[in-house]
Amino acid sequence: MAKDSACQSFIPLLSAFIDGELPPADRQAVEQHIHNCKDCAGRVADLRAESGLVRVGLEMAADEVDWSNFSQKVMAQLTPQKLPVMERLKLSLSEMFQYQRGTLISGFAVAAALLLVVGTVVMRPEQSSAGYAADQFAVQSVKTDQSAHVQPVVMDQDQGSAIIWLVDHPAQNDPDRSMDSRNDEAPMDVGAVPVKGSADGGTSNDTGGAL
Amino acid sequence: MRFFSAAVLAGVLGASPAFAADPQVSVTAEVVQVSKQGNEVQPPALATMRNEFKKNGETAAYTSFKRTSEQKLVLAKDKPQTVKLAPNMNAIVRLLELKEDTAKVLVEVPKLLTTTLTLGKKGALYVRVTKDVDPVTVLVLTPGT
Repeated sequence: MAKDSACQSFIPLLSAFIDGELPPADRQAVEQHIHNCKDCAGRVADLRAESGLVRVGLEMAADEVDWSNFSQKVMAQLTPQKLPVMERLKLSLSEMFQYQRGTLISGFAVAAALLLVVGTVVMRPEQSSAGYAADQFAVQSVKTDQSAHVQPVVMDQDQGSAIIWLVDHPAQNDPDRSMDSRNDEAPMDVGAVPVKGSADGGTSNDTGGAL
Repeated sequence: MRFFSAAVLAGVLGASPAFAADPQVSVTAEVVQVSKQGNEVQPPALATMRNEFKKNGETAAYTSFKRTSEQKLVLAKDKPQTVKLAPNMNAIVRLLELKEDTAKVLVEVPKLLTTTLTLGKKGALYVRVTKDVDPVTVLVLTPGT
């Protein structure tokens, strides 16, 4: 009877003993009891056999299952619905700002600098058209060197062009002989076309337009 | 990434003087030999020059036009450009001022002539730069593109 009462206190521990779940002190006590108690030893053997049968049965059941894509199927069941695009975007951005702030700032700085450089390059060609606000070429003044013994003849054209021609002028009284549009006394070669516009002889007269 | 950022910033700082650059004006300068002999127009684009010359008594006799050189000049204040007209003979083209987007340019052929002009969208300037009778060297200035 005493033996039965002792067994009654150990029987609840036998299953945990088989599974290795008992603390060291309890495991030692159970081991000592089953060493001395044939009934409890038999119970432990039965429990072990039962556990083995269950394991074999589960393994047989597992062998019949297709485990390919197992993790994907599990994850699909965990997250059956995707977040809306805007929500996912917000989430991505907030994570990026939180964990990659330095890289993001560097990236923005590089992009801004590149835009600045590219913008400068694109804008620069416009500078090459600067200076052409006037419709036509206009000669403001012409001076010839005394030693050259030539006289300039300025001819304006209908298309906005101007021709500065040189004709012989062997006798030059003025050191810098220049054409004035109203200087009828200026000698010209035979055949030279009179100046139609005005050519300033070095003064600040503004011709005001094409010749 | 940091090295790349530093490199780009250095490039921007290095290019920053471009933002404060002096205004520039582009002009195309051609040197053309015109002659009373023959009818060659080379390149064909000089047909415009031939037509212009036909309209004036002084130049109507010239029928042959051959370009010997062409160069694009970028004029800036205090940076005169040189155009080679012939061996030992150059023309100097200088930007005098750029006012209200109108460029005033000076063309000087040493010991021969000096002319100032304003540039225009249309037309060209034809300047006889030699005293030779035939052929004659003409400096042509047209808007730069």
